[in-house]
Amino acid sequence: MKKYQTQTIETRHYQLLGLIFASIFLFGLYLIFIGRVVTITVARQEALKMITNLEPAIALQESKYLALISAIDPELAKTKGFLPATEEVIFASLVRENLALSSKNNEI
Amino acid sequence: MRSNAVWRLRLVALLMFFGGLSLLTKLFFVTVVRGEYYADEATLQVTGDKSLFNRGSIFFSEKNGNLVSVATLQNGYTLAINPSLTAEPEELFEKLASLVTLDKDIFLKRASKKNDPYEEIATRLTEEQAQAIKNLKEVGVILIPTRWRFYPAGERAAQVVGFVGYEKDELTGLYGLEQQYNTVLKRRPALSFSDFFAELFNGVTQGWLGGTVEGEGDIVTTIEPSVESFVEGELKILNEIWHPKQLGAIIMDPQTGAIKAMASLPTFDPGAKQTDLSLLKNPLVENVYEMGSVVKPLTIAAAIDDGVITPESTYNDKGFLMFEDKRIGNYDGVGRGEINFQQVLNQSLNTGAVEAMQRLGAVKFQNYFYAHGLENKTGIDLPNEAKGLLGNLESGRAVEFATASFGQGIALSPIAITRAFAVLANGGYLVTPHLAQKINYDSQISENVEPSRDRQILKNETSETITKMLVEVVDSSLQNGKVKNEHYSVAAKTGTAQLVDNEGGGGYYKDRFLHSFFGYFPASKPQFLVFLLMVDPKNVTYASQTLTDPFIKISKFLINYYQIPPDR
Repeated sequence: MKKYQTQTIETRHYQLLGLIFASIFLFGLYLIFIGRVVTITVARQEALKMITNLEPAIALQESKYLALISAIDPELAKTKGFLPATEEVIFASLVRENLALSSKNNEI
Repeated sequence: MRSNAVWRLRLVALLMFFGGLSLLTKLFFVTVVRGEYYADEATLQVTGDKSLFNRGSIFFSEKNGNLVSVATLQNGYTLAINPSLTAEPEELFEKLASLVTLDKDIFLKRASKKNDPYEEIATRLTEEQAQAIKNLKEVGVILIPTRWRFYPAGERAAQVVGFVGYEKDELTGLYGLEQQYNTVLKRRPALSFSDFFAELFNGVTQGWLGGTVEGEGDIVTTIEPSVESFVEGELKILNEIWHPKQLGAIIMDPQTGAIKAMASLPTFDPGAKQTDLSLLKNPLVENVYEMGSVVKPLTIAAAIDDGVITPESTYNDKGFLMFEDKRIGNYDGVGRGEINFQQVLNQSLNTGAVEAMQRLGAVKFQNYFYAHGLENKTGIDLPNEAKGLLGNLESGRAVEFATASFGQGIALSPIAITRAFAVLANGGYLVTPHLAQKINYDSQISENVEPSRDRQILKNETSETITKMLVEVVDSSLQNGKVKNEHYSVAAKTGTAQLVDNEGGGGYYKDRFLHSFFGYFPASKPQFLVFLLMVDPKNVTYASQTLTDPFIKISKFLINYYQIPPDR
C-alpha cells in the first residue's frame, strides 16, 4: 500500500513538473509573440514615416515630369535635329514577288 | 492523502487553464475588439492624425509601359491655433504670415475666440513650411499631419479622371474614373494587425460574421500622357482661334477599343474646389449631339454591306429631294447629275446619303444603325453614359429616315459614334471602348482588361471598301488633296451640322454649327482613330475649315511618336 502511494506521488510529481515546464514554455512563447508584435509595429511605423516623407516628393516629381513631356512637340523635336517620318522619309523598296521567304508559286 | 494530491493537481491545472484563458481573452480584446483604437493610437504617435485619408492611385501608361500617376496622395500639414494660449495674436500673425499666406482679418477673428481650443488657420502646408513653423516654437500653434488627394496632371484629362469629394460625411470618388472605380480605389481604415493572434482572430471573426473582402487596388489606364498632352494642346489652339462653346477629342485604338486620349474644353482642375458644376461632366460620354455628315460613311457602308450599292454605282443628283412638303438639299443646293457614291463622300452630298438609305430600305437601315449600338450605351468604363436618341427611326416617316442618313434628326454621344467608326476601320467588329487597362490589386494580383470584339456587324470586304473610299476623300477632296500624305494612307470624313435652336421653339440655327471630324490610319491596318468635335465655333461654317489641320497635326504626331511604318 505504501509503495503504491509513493509511486503515485512520484507520477503526479512528474506530471506537475511537466505542467510547470509547459507553462514556462508557453509563457516564453507569449513573450516572443509580444516581442515580435512590438518589433513589427515599430518597423511598420518607421516604414510609414518613410513613405509619408517620400509620397509628396514622388507626386511633385510626377507633376514636373508631366509638365515636361507636355512641352515636347514636333517643333521642339525639329530643333533637336529629329526628322518627321511623315515628311523626311527615305524608303528601301522591296519587290514582293522576290521575297525569299515566299512560297508562292513554288511547286512542292 | 491521494485524494488531497489529486485535488491539488486539479486546482493547479484549473488555475493554469483559467490563467491561459484570461491571457488569450485579453489578447483577443487588445488585438480585435479594441484593435482599431490601438492602431489609431499607434498611428497618431507617428502622424498625429487619427484618420489619415487613404486611397488607391490612377495611372496613365506611357507607350513604353511606364506608369505615371494622375491621381495619388499628398502629405502635408494643417495649421491651427489654440486661441486660449495665444497671448499676442498680432505678433503671432506677423510671424506666421512670413511663412504661410494668411488673411489677417480672418486670423485675428479666429484668434479672438478665447474659449475655443482649436481654430484652423491654413491647410495643405508643405513639410518645409511646417518645419519653419515648428522652429518658431510658439505656444498655441498646432500642426496636424494630413493627407489629401493630389492630381499631378492638373487639368489634364480631368473629365476622365474625375475627383474626390464629400458625399454626406464620406470622401468618395465623384465623376470620372474616381467614381467608376470607387470600390477598387477606396480604402478601409487600416487595422494594424501585425501579430499572429490578431490575424488569426480577425480571420475567425470574418468567417463567423461572413465579412467579405472586396479588392482594393490601383487603376492603370490606357491613356498615354504625351498623346493626351498633345491633343489638349491642339484643343487649346482651336479654342483661341474659333472660340467655340465646347471642344472635344477622342483617340482610340479601333482594334481593341482602348482610349489613348480623351480631352474636352472647357475643363476644371480636379485638385481645386469645384464651383462650376457644368464643367464636371464629360461631354464626350454624357452628352448627345446631332453629328451631321460624319454619319454618311455609316449609311454608305450599310448599303455596300447589303450589296445594294458599290463605290462606282451612280444615281441622278438633282441637288434636292422632296418628302411631302419637306425639301432636303445638298449643302450648296446644286445638282451634279449622274454621279457615283465615291463622290457622295468626296463632296458630302446629302442626296447621295438619302439615295443609299432608300436603296437599302428603311428597315434594314434602321437595323444597321441599331447593330452599331448607336441607341445603347457603349459600356465604356465611365459613369453616366448617355444613350443615343434614335427616336426618329421609330417614327416610320420617310423624311426622318432621310435626314438620319446624313446625321440630322438623330443625336449620338461622341463615344458611341467613335465606336461606330471603329467598326469601319477594324474589319467590321463592334468593340467596347475602355479606359482601364489593368487593375493592380494590393494583394499583388493584377487583372488585365481584355479587349472585347463583341460581334461582327459589317463584312471584312465592306470595311475595306469604305476605308478605300474614305482614303480617297482625304487624297483628292479634303482641302483639294493638299493634305494627302504620300507614304501613309489616311481615311477621314468631316461633318458640319446645324445646331438645334432650343430657344426659338425648334428648328435649326442658320448660323450656328457643330463641327466634327473623324479619321483613322494607317488605313491598311488602322492603329489610331481620331475623333474631333467643336460646338458652335464663331465666324466659320464648315468643319473642313476648322478641324482638318488639327487632325493632320495629330495624325503626324502619332505616326512619329509611335514610329508607325509607312503603308504606301
